[in-house]
Amino acid sequence: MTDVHQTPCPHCGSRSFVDDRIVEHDCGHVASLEAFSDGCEKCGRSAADEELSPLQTIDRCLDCGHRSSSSNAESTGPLPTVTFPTLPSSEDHLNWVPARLVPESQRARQLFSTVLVVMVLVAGIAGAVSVTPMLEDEPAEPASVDRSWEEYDSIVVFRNDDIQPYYNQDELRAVNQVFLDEEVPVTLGIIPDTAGEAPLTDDPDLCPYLRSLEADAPGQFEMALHGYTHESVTDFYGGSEFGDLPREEQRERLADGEALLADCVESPSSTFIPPMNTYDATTVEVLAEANYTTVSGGQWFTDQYYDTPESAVFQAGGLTHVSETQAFEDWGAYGEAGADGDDVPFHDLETMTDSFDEAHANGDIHVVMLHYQYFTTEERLDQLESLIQHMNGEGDVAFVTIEQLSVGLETGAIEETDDGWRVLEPIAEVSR
Amino acid sequence: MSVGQSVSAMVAVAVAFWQTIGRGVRAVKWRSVALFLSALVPFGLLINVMPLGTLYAIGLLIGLLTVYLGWSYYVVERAPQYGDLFGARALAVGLVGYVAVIVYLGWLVPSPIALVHLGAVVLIFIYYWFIAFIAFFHDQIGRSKYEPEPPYPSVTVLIPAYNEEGYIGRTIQSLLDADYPTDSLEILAIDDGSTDGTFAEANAYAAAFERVSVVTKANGGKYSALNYGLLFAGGDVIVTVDADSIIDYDALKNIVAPFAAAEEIGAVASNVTIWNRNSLVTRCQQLEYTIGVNIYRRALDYFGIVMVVPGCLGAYRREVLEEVFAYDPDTLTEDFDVTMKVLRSGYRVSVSDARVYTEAPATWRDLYSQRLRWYRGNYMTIIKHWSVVTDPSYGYLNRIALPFRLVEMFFLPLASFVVLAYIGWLVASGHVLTVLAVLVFFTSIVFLIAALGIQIEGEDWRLLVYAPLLVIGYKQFHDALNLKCLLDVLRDRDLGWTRAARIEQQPASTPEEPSAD
Repeated sequence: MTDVHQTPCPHCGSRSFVDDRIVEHDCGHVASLEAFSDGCEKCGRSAADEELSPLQTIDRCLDCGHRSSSSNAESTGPLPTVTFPTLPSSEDHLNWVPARLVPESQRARQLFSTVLVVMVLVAGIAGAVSVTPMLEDEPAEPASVDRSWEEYDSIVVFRNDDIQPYYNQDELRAVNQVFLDEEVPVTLGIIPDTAGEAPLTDDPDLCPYLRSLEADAPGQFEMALHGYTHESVTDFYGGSEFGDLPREEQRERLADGEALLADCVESPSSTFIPPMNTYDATTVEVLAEANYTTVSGGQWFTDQYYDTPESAVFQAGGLTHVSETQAFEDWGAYGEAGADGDDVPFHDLETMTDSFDEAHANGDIHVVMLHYQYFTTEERLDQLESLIQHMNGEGDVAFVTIEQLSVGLETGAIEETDDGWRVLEPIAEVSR
Repeated sequence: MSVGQSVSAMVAVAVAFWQTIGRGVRAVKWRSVALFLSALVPFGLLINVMPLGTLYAIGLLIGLLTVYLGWSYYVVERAPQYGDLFGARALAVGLVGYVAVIVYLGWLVPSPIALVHLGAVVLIFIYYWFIAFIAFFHDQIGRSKYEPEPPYPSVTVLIPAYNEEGYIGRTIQSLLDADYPTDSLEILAIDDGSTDGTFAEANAYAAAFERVSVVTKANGGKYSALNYGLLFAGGDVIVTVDADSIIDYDALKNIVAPFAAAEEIGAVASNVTIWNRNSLVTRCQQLEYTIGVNIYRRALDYFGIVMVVPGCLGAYRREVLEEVFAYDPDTLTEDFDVTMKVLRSGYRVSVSDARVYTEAPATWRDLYSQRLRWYRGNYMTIIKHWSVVTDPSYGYLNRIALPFRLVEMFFLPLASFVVLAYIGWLVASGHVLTVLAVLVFFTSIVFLIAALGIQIEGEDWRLLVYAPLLVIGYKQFHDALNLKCLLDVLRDRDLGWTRAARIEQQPASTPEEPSAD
């Protein structure tokens, strides 16, 4: 349909217009109705009437094709009053600073904002730096304490007694190195003030060395209290530092020793190792009051005193008793030889391995005692190494410290099974 | 030539050399350099406290990504015949293989939290080294590659409007006020069947100014209004402006500048600035725009693959828009969709220095409505254009832009909640101090990155106060919304527009002027 318009086409001045029906196809394409006669140009589909929605009918100039909206002309209302909001600009970014603080000159302003940038920068860095030490102590992620049960035939504990200042320090390091090399945990029995003359903390080297062991090999070295002066002050079962002493005196010795050890190492354990492997019921009561969990004497002694034959580990008086079952040193032979010289004779390797083999076959707990100061030759160090390798060669042996054993049994992380033991690894994660 | 002459020539060369160096040194924007370098400090500290295995794992991943990026550059720029080799899909396979390798080597204990942790650290590294570095570099060499110069092309500005009374007049006025040759500018308001006085308001301008016209049609949505408007457009360049936006004085000249510089540029994006910064919600959004949207866009600009030409101000070559049949009805974000179509047709999309001021949703509820539409639309658009993910012939779009976008849209929102659950676990198991330390740490990184963004964008330094919310709070709001939208889109593709209420359309409100800052 062609009409003649009063207003000419703004493009060419022609007054001939045609009605142009603008429709929208389902695919979104907008065009004149006639453009859809051969289907939709955009999607290629057919364009039936029901797929086309009318949008508007407008005028199209017949001469130049210019489109103008038919509803465009009439209304000529007044222009609305328009107010613009305050737009942010990069110049007024200091306007929040009190005017008296903002410098006048351009250069000073730049300096001022540079100072602001530096403050921001320092604040950001200071924030990060100040919390970094706390990040280092970040707890193990749940994933890394992924714990699992491991099955073992038997359990072995090593107890290295008589750690003391000044004396045979090279031997101490050599013995500990064997345990480090073999990755076997060990409980160290530390004498706080040997013979009342050598406080642990007087030696400038020993305590830092012990702390370095704790830091470098976490969970591998248990720092246990080994009496106070390590003197035989009573005749209790052939000699004792604690057995048969009055309660108050026992308590004092324990407290004094405890204080020295606490000054020396990072984490003193909850195990007490009485000198000469002997202690009495009072010792156990005093230890329980002082929150110890474990006492470790000798089985030859506990068999008699507690009447628990063949038991290396038992409960009594609120404490777990973990008794030494096999010593490295052959004290009987030492006595026979008649105390000639320092060298305490060792059991030979075969005696040691036989003793272990028997315990292993029975699925027992095997507690080996040694004294570092006697490992004065390569031969003796080799013997320790050979023993550990023999144990490892026998199959599934769980190596733990006294505290790990005692706390593991208490919390259920170590359990006896029909044919041995099962341990919730890593056992070093077990804590009181 | 005598000895004296050659000596003086050498001296002259030396002086010229030093002058060049001196100019170079003076041209360096030292504040940006200081901010960029300072953000390295937290990374250094982080490296210090990380277990060695994690460091190796991060190193290997960064190595893998560097090789991928380098190869992508080589393939796209130099050797398109190898385009099929080591593409986005191979990268995905490579990443799975990578995880298997680091687990096998014992560098990573396999668990969701460990993977997320590694992913988060690597993403922050990438964000910093890739995105922030390019933006920083962009800033150092000059704000823009494109300087507006005459002759200016003829421009038709399309303003789709549905019930924009009280807004559209201001938008038209800002376009009339803008610096652009009068005879090359045509402003066309499209009234999409408004039920208020939108048409009358626009028509008043049409009557008063020859270069303004207004058309009206049955209501059909923004895409439909734009398609309709295109029928009337006579300009060589089509500029689209939202009816609630205010354009900067230089915006029109700036936004057409890239077209003159390169024939293959099909569309040009603008920088969006929020003007109503009088509440926590809008200030958080401005900071998000500053360090997220604008910086990100600058980085992608380097490859000509800016992924969204914002609806509030964008420009297209007219023939390009016609070639792709303009706007489609099937997503909620027609600006993202049409940009993808332009990119897929092989055109570059660039960003300009054009600035547009927009009113941001001022309440959490309105922000929720706006982002519901955006995020749903984003997922719809990505799903619609999924072939770009798998087809290596799309070059950088396939190799860089989409993998990054997919990680952002699918991995990050999920990761955010794994991290939140982990934080919950830490708090529950008594590690409150550690949680605080981690928060302070990441806040300081975001804080320094935000400072860099603010420095580069010339933004307001006060926005830094809101940096912690981008670590916790505001961030989780968006992540949760993203997840919701992803589920919505997967369940039901037929979702309607959600629209934020506006201050100035609320009946009882006094017009204009936000309360002073």
